[in-house]
Order: sequence, then C-alpha cells, then structure tokens
Amino acid sequence: MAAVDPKPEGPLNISGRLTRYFINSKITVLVVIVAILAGILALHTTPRTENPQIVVPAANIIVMKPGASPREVKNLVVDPLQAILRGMRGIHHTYGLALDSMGVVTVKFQVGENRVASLVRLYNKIMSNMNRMPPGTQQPIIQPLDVNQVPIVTISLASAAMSGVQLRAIATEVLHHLRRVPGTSRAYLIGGERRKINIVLHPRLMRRYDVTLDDIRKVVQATNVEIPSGHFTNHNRRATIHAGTMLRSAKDVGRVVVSLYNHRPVYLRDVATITDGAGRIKTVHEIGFGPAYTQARPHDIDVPEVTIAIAKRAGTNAVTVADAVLHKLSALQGRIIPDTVHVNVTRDDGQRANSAVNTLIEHLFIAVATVVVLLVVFLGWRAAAIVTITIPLILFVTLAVDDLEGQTINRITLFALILSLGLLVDDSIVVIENIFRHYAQAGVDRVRGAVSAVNEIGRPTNLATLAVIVAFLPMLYVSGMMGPYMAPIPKNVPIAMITSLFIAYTVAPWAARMWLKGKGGHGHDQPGILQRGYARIMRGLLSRPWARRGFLFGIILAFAAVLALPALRIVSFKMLPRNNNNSFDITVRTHAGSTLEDTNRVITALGDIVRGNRYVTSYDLSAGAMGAINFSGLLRGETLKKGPAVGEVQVHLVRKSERPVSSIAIVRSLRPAIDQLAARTRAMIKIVQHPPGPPVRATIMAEVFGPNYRKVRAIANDLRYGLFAHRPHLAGIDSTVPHRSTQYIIKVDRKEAALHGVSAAQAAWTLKGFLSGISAGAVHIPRAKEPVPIRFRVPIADHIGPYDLGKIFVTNPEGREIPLSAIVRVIKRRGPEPIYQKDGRDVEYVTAGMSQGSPVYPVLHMWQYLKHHTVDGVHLKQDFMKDPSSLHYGLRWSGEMRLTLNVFRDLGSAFGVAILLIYVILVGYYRSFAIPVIVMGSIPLTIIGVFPGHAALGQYFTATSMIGVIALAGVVVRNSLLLIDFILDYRRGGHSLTEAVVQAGAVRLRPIMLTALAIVFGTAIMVMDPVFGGLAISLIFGTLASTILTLFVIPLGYFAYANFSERGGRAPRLH
Amino acid sequence: MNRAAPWPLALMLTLAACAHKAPPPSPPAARPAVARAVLRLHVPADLDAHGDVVIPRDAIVQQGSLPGVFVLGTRGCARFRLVKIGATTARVAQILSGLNGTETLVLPPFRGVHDGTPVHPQPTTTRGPHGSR
Repeated sequence: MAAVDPKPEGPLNISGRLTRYFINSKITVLVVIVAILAGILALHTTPRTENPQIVVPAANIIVMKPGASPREVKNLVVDPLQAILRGMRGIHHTYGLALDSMGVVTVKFQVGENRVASLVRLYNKIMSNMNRMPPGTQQPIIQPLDVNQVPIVTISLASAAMSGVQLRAIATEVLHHLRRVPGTSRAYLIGGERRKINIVLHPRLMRRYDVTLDDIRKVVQATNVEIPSGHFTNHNRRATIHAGTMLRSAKDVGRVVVSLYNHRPVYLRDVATITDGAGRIKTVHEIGFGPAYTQARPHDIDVPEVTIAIAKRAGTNAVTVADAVLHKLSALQGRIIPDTVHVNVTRDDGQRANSAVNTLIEHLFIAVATVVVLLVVFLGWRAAAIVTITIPLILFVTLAVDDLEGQTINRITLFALILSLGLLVDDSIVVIENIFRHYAQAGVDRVRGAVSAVNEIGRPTNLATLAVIVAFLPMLYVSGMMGPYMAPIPKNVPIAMITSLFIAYTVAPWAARMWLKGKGGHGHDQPGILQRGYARIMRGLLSRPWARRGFLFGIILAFAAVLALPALRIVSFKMLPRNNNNSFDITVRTHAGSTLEDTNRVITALGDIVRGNRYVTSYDLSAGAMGAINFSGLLRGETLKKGPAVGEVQVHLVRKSERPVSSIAIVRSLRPAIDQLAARTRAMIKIVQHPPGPPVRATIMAEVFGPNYRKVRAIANDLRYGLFAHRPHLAGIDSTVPHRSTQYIIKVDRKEAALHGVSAAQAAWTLKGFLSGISAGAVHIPRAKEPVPIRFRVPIADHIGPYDLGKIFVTNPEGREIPLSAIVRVIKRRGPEPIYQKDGRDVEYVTAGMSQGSPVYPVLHMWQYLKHHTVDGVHLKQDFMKDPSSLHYGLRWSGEMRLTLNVFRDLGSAFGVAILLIYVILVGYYRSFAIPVIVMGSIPLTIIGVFPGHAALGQYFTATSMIGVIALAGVVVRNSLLLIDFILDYRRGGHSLTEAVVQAGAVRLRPIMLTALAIVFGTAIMVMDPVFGGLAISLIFGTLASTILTLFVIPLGYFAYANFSERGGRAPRLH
Repeated sequence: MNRAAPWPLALMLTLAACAHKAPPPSPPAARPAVARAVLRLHVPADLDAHGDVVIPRDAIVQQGSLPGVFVLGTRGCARFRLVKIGATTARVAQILSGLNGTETLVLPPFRGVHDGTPVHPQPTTTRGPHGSR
C-alpha cells in the first residue's frame, strides 16, 4: 500500500480501537507478564500424556451357564443379551462370543460417550432384564474396559532362587506400599504363585481308611469356623467370645480328624499329603535380558518374575504419579525387596509421555529459532525482536487455555503448536510492517501512526485469520476414534490464531512504539532483485495473451499430471504410518490342545530370537496368560485371553533417542526368524506394534456373515488358506475358525447309577474334585496379604487318561464304594467350538497384519478378486460400510481399511465444509460472488506440491497429510486474499489494471514469501516424525507450490476477470 | 523485556537432553562352563506304557516354583525346560508334558548350572541309571 494514500481518518475499526487502548496502557505489560506466568504454570501442571486420551466406553459382560454347549449359550444367553443391549442409546457395536458353559458380550459405546453415564445405563439395562435370564445362568459379571485400567508403570521382580510363592509375597508387600502413592488406582500382580494349602489326596489310603472326598471336604469346612458368639459379663466387666476352631496353618489342616477307623481317629494327614506352597502351575511369567541391558545380569537367561502393574486415576498426571511410584520403589529396595531380587521397570508411561512431550518442546524451540533467524534476515533486528516476543506469549496463552479446559499436553497438542507457528507470526509481521511504513513517513506521531497503521490492515488481517480458523474448525466433527485423537489440532490452532491476532493488535504495537526505529530503515521499500524479476515476468505474461494462456494451460496440465500420481500408486494412501516405539509385543496362540509346556517352549524360543537383537534391553515372557495389558490390547479384547494355549512376549527396546534404528526396522529384521518358528511349531505368532493412532482389532479384517454357520466357517477357511495366504506382504494370517480338538464326555449311565444308588450330580462333583480340584474355604493366616485357599486335589499321575476312572470312587447311601467306571461311559468327541457374533449376527473373522505397505491395496485386490470369483461355490456380497444382508453370504471388510475409509471420508467432508465456509466469508467481505472464486483458486494449486512432495520423499499420503491439505486451504487463501486486496486498493488509487496487478504482486511478494518460508521452516522439524511427517510434507510442499503459483495465477485470474467484466460481460479481447 | 526469558526452561531441557548419556550395556552374563554327565533320551526306550517320557527323578530341578529339567541346547548350553511331572518313584519320574523323548538332559549336580550355562558333556552311558523300566 506504499503507493496508495492512507485512508481518510474515519471511525476506528475494532483492531484500531484495541491498539489505541493498549498502545499506551500499563495493562499491556500486565498482559505480557500474566501470559508468561500462566504459560510456565501450564507447562508444569498440565497432565502430560503421549497421545490424547480417547474415551471409548466399553464393557465385557460375562455370563456363566455351566454345562451348556456353545450353541445353547448363543441361543439362550448371547443372542438375547445382545438384542437387549442393542436397544440402548449410544451403542456402537456388540460382539458376542459363545463358549462352552460361558458367554461373553462385549459392548462398545460410541467414541466420546460419557463413560460413567454409559456404564450406569448398562448396569441398569442388565439388572432390569435379570428376570429374562434362562434358569441355570449365574449372575452376569460386568467388566468395564477402561483406559485408566491400563497400567502406566510395570515393575518386574525376578529371582530364580526364590519360589514363586516367596516372590509373590515380596511383590504383595511392595504393592501394598506402592498403592499408597497418591494418584494410583488399580494395582495388581501378574505372575508368581499364590500361596495355597494343597491337600493332595491319596485314593489308595482313602479307600483303606474308608473316607471319601465328600467326607473330607465337609469335615474341613465344618472345622474351619469361628464365629463371634456373644459376650460374658461378670465382675463388672464385659468380654467378647469367639467360638470355633479356625485353621491357621497347613499343620492345623493336617490335624483335622476326617473319620474314625477301628475306633481310632483318622487324620487328614493320614490320607493326604499337605503342603503349603504353590500348587499346580497354570501360568509362567519370566523375564529375559537382551544385549542392551544395563544392569547386573542374572545367571539365568530367563528368570521367573512377578510383575507389579499400577494404573493411575483418571485426570492425574502420569508423569508425577509414575515418578512418585518409582521414587517409593527405590526406597523399598534393600528393605522390603532383598538385594537378590532383580528389579526392573518394564513400563514407564510417565517417562514415555514426558520424553515425548519434552522432545517436542525441544522441536518447538528449534522451529521458533529457525523462524526467528528468518525474520531477522527479512525484517532486520528490531522488527524481528518484536515479532519474536509475541511468539512465546501466544504459545503460552494457548497452553494455559488447554490447562484450564482440562486438556492434556500431548504430542498432538504440540504438533498443533508447531503447525500454527508459521501462521501465528504472520499477524504480528503484517502489523509491524505497516507500522514501520507509517513511521517511515516524516513527522508522524508514534502513537497515532501505529493506531492508524493497525486500523488500515485490520479488516483483511481479521479476515485472513478467520479463514484459517474456519479451515480447521470442521475437523472437530471427525467421527470415530480419529476425532478425539486429532481434536487438539482444531482446538489449539484456532486458539493460537485468535491469541496471535490479539497480541498483534496489543503487544506488537506497544513494543513497536517503544523500540521500532522510524527512519534509516533497511531500505526494503526499494524493489529488490526478486521484485524486479517478478514485475518483468508479470508484464510479459500480461502483454502476451498466448503466453498467458500457455501458462494457465501448463498449470492445468501439471495439475492433471499430479492427480495421476495416486492413481498410478506412486503416492499410496494409508491411515497412519507406523510409529517408532520403545516396545512391541508378540502374541502367541499354540495349536488347540497344546499344553502349557508346549506354549512355554514356543515362548522361550521367541525369547531366544529377540535376544539376538542388539537393541533389546529386556523381554517379558508369559505363557498361559497375557502380560500386562496395554491400550491397544484392551481394545482388541486381550483381557479375555487365557488358558494354556496363549502366550505373549513383550519386548522392550533401548529408548528411541539413543537408538539409530527404528522399532519398525527391528521388527522387520526379526520377522523371518519368527515366521520360521511359527512354521515349525504350527503356532499362531503375531507381532503387534503399538499403533500411533487409534487401535484396531486387526489391520486387515474380513467379517464373513451368512445364514449357515458351518458354511460360513468353510468360506472363512477358504479365504484364509486360499485368498489371504497368497497375497504378498500379509503377515500373521489368522481366523477365528477353531482348530479341531478332542473332548471327553463322561456320561453318567442313569440306570446303572440308580441301581447303585448314586445320583448323577454326586458322580459329577466327585469327578470334578478329582480332575480339577475343589476349593474348601481358606485358612486364616492374619499376616497373609492375599487369601490362602485350601485346595483338594488328586496327584496328577492318578488321572492322566479318561480310562483311569476305576481309581475314583463314589460312596452310595449304604456306605458302599462304587468305582466311577461302573456307572459312567466315556465318549470321545470333537471339542466345543466357539461361536462369534457381531451386532447379533453369526460371524467368522479372517484377519491379517501387514509386514510392510498399506493395507488399502491388498484389500482392493482381494475385493476385485472376490467380485469375479466364487468361494466355496458362493458369490460373496462385499461391503465396506453398510451391514451385509442376513439372507446371503456376505463379507464386510473391516479393520484398518474401514477406519481409513472413515477417516478420509470425514476429513474430506471437513475439507468441503471448510471451503464452503471460507467462500461464504469471502463473499461477505468482497460483496461479490466471482472474486472469492479467484481468491480460492490458490487452494487446488497446493495439490501440485503435495502429491509430488509425498512421492519425492517416498511417504504415504496419510490422515495427517490430509489435515495438512485442510490447513493449507486456510493458509493460501490468506496470501491470495491480501494480494487481491492490494490490487483492489491500487485500482481505487487510480492505477491502470495492468499496473495495479504488477505493483500489488511486487509489493506483496516479500511478505508472502516471508509467510511461506515461516511455514516451511517452522514445520520442517516435523518431517522426520513418522506420524506427522505427512502433515509437514503437505504443508511444506503445498505452501511452496501454491505460493509461487499464487503469485502468478491469482493476478492473472483477476486480470482476466476484470477485463471480462469491464468489457461489459463480453469475452475479454486483450490488446 | 527480555526475549529469552520464557525459554530458559526449554533451553535447559535441550541441554539436559544433550548431557544425558545412556549408560553402556552391561557385559554378557558370566556363565562359566561346567562339565556334567548328560543323558540322551531315546524313543521308544524312554517311554512308559502310556507313551510318556520317563526320566531319572534327580534330573528334575525347580526354578522358582517351576518344575523343569535342563536340556542341552543346540549350542551346548543348558536350557531350562518346563515340564509337567506325573507319577514319581524314588528313582524315576514320568513327564506328562514338556519333553518328546529326543532331548539330552543335563544330570546333577546342578550347582553352577543355570539357564544358559555351557555344559561339556561328560562321557556316560546313554542309558540312564533308570534302566530298570
């Protein structure tokens, strides 16, 4: 506007008034001080997390119906329960699983539903329908699945010399102390052995002394009582009385008289061996140490461990809670934990969150520094210094607002700040530049000059800022888990933008009044070499219609060529790339019917494989159960997995800042050996890397539905072994179709039982007592911190096969002992097979992970294949979004593919809405329908940079790239808006069209370049981030391409439009 | 107005991050090699009537609460193997799960033998002391 006369002094607009108030005010200083203090306070007190906490209320409802087959459980429990629950508000999906004697329904509420309200509704719904439960079902157990159940700290206590009971006792003691740390919530132990009083019965001796299991159990239970029985009052004193004989030790239990034999008492110890200890081993938890381990190594490779897992209370700061826990732990070491026990912190989410946040604060600092250097180069020391002051103020205010809103500081928040960095310096730059120009005029009053400078640029600056805010806001409405995950961006960028506007109108003019020198500037009003070059090219284009047309045609051609990149798969789509993590998991499911020992062997072999990698510090081996749960495991339903055939290895790596290789590369290098092991042992081994964003059940997931479940199974099997197995890069292909297993049915022959006077129930109970053991209360040891149950069992050797039933006896009412083999028949048959349901329909899942690449393309390939081919003679109806029909066999592609489609759909809609809003605002501003179209012409130009940028760096076009594209819409509109504004101003100043276009471009060239470079340099630090690299690439390349092209295309567009309209709507004939 | 004022925190963090050096990994655990008698299991000679492996009872060790045996691994190291023990007599133990009858067991004394200890097999008979089966 240098050549334009300043607008006549009219009434000030809001920007001018703000400046007038603050420019001389003492309040400005206070604003600065308050912003700084609030920011520092926020930085210290706001809870830190690695990722935004996503609230996905979910719960498992477990219903036991002893003796019912899976089909029965499905028909009587799982189906009706799902129907009841699906009638509730806010339900997203229900997943059913019918097992032998047990049904599980997992309810998932919509993302963002209030957790407490959802669970209350769930309880209410179930309790009010209790009367509809079929007879024989037990009270449903409702397990809420909550993010706050996921332990933030896990501590492993390991020792090979101590027994599992001893180790667990120490861990219990430690747990007891750590529980007192404020902010902790659920704390529990994994591994070790619970102390039990094991009564190992000897059938031979029992027969000799003529006692039965039932006798013993009754006697022990009857002996183990002590009840408060009132009080004595005498001699003016009152004393309470307890009557009974409590069992307090294994010895006590051994001294129980179970019967009389030849008029002499038979003690329990006469017919059984009684031990105080571990009992039967059902799970194994061990820890091993890799080459990068830094503490003293134990003698053994894998050492039995007990893990103490501690979760935090909702709303507390993971960093402080974890610190307090670990501080307490170090105090306990040597006092409660003996020195022979190896103590390792295997998970510390506090530290993880803190280092993630600190790294990003560091990055933010670097980004600010680069932008400052840029400002110094472009604006000179003083102006740069003033703009630099405003940057931390804006960031601090934004952080303080987050703190007040109850948000956390996480990676996404900080990415939002880095992203907004390039945008937020702009307001101050524009203000300072204009004040500078005013001061350069001789004899201007410093206060009034600054006020009128701000007043002048107030309207376009407000509008440009509004455009950026409007571009981001629709992102708040992204659905699914991605919405809350990305939410800090649309929340923080607008806050930062509004703050930057306020600071630019208040603090910046105030600082300019104090420090900005009016004269003897840097001569940046003289056109530099860039401006002269630009003017020459522009004049050339304007004067030659063919060159103009050729230029525009070239742009269109380039645009078309760029759009071909994704079509030719030079740029691939993916939801989110993998993240470089400090740990990953390997889950194992051995063949059905495998023993714990088999599973443990696979697990140990996996430990041997991962130990070979030099970046492994330690690994937790679990067999028979899973290790400490994590967020993605929770949502994948891993809390339900147990039994001898499951196992898990949690691998911990050197911190990523100290390791040159990403966890992705480490997993890739381990995969061949793990695949070999899987092939050798026929175990299902999956490597689970923690996703950077919302977790899914599986990367690729095909849900097969259909009217006949057996056929559905056959189809699922065909898909698994036929279609999936032959696609490259698919790893860990699995399905829910069960392996065959054997089951023995021991049928009580009713006639024989009646003849012998034995009831079927009695026979079944006796059998259970012998095969799986019976609990009979607990001994009362006041000092024990966990209950010590009394368990009866028969030594394992006496019940190894189904044909050893002759050794087990039941006593009939006449006191005669009947061998079980006389009244039962043993039938061998196929084991019960679980039935899966989703949203009330039978389903089988076929799942796979990806060893590399995006899941989008294999799924599209398989989709194409299934469109033209039949499976098992059935043509599958395929769907991505909608529910398949229940009458036909159908397949729905779910997993990450579904999430990807949802996310791109939502972000695409957000983009559309953003563009519409920007258009509406621009129409309001220009009072014209055509000029906004020219202004927004710069938006598609960004694509010319975005796709080639991704192709050049070999990156996926991800959800964050898409966010970058949306952000670009706001950014580039700002540039073209100011450009058009200047052209209009020049024209009002009486310049010819050509001259106005050329001059405006030349004058705006420098600030536009400055803004663009600020964005490029500000976000450059993000390029290396595996997740947000896409955003950075979009911003950098999109801004560069759009800026350079905008400078030509927008003036040319306006030139053509103005020519056209000035000729009264006739086609423009130029020169 | 000191423009560096808000940033000493970040600066300190940066410096702290630079100053923080990861401790070097500890050297591999010292597991001195030992010489022990070994027992090579054979199928079907070491199976009982049920088809379960039978081993000398004193080959069983307890690691923590886990019952197991030391199996001589491919690299000449003793590796702990979890087993499920069935019927036992004074001399032999029946293994219900965990061994398939082709392993080589390390025999006592187990002092100095840990999971991963290199073992030099002592020349012994491949038939165990439980040949009475």
